[in-house]
Order: sequence, then structure tokens, then C-alpha cells
Amino acid sequence: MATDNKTLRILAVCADGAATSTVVAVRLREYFGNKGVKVEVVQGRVVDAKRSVESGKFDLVVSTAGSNLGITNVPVLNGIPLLTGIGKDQFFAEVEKVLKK
Amino acid sequence: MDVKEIIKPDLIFKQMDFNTPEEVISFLAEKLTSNELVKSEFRPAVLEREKTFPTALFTGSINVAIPHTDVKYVNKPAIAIATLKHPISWRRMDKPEDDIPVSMVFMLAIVDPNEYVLFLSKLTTLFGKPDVLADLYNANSNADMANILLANLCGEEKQENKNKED
Repeated sequence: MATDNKTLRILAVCADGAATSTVVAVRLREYFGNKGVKVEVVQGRVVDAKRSVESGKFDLVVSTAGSNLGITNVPVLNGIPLLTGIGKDQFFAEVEKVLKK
Repeated sequence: MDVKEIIKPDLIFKQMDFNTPEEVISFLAEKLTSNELVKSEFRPAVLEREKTFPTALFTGSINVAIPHTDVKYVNKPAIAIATLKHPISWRRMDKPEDDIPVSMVFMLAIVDPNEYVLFLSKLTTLFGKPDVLADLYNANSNADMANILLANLCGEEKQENKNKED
């Protein structure tokens, strides 16, 4: 991965920053943990996502409540595949792709 | 935590006849409220939240919805479940501009997401399994449905040896 030794920072957001983003955060830590990639997943609410991205250095945003968050400088991916498992491989392929940029 | 405390046959309502998400939400929230599992503000809070953040999940087979709200309105963790006689149109969580037909509704009343994360992730993973969704939808009784859920939500994920001969 093109991340060298730095820790990946991911913002996981859902409507209340509590239920589905918790599952997404666990899945992301699991995935990167298994690959030996250091990752820090921060949870939040979609309404705060834009501000969080402006103030924190995130490499990626994963949202379960729609991807139109008005964020342009950081890739935003739909996190539903991490809940249901449907399209999970495709999701992680997309993650790899956007992180390589 | 004990999943049996959360999945209760008397909070399962099969083959219900509703026309809108609001009707299902009101009905299920009322059941949780009358059992004192949630506070009286829970129902309006779920209805309000659903307007901005709908909760239907596209599964590719039987679509489901998982209405829920802030943990502060919950007294005791529980899930109220309805299967619908006719699918109703429900907006997608990931694409709120799109409606999909939903046939099963799982209203989540959870307290501490960190404590319930394993449970929640198993529950949502189950929504990606068309055979389990069909078994749940077609279960003969509330007890059957509760048992199918318990079998899929308890224990290790590799235990898939029963009911495999369809």
C-alpha cells in the first residue's frame, strides 16, 4: 500500500454517530489490522462530517447515511457493504484504489 | 450481554398489514413503550430521525429497515420486529432519494453501541444472507422466528450445520 508507515485516518459516519458507524469502525479496524496496516478510525455524525474533515487530517470518509456530504478533498465511500457484507470485496477494492492515489 | 434478553417472541409481529413506514414505526415503538423498554419520547424521535435519515437496507432479496434513534431514549435494550404482509415503500439509508420495497422491519432500541457492536454486526451481516431472511420471513411462529435469530446471532459464526437441507 502506498501509505508507507503512516497511520491511516478514517472517519466513519452515520446519522447519530453511534449505531451503524460502530459496526463500520470495527470492520475497518479488522480489515486493516489483518493487513498489518496501522489505522485510526474516528466515529462521527454525518452532519459534522464536513467540519471534521476540514479540521482533522483524514485519508478517507466512510458513510452509512449517503455519500453526498459536500466533501470534495477526501474520498467518501458508502459503508453499507460493511454492514450487510453484500459487495464487501468491491468496497475494499475501492478503498485500496482511493488510498493509492 | 445476553441476546435472549433482546430477542423476545412477544415483540415479534408477523404478517402485519401496514401502508407506510410511519405506521410500522408507530406500531413497533408503541409496543416498546408500553413494555417500558423505551421512554415516551422514543416514538417521535424515531419518526423524526427517519425523515432525514431513512433506514431501509437493500439486500437483493427481502429488503429490511432498521429504524432507531438516540440511545438516550432507551431504558433497556430490545428489538421489536414486524414482517409485512405487503412490502411497503421505504427510503434507502445509503441513497435517501431512492425507495425500495421493505418486507421486514427491525426496530432497534440499544443502549451502548460499543457493548452491542458484535450483536449489531451479526444482525446486519444476517441481512446479507437471502436464505436466512427467507427463513425468518416464512417462520411459522414468533418462537420459530426468535429461534432462527438466536441461532444466527449467538455463538461462533462457523456454526452453520443445521437446517441446511432445503
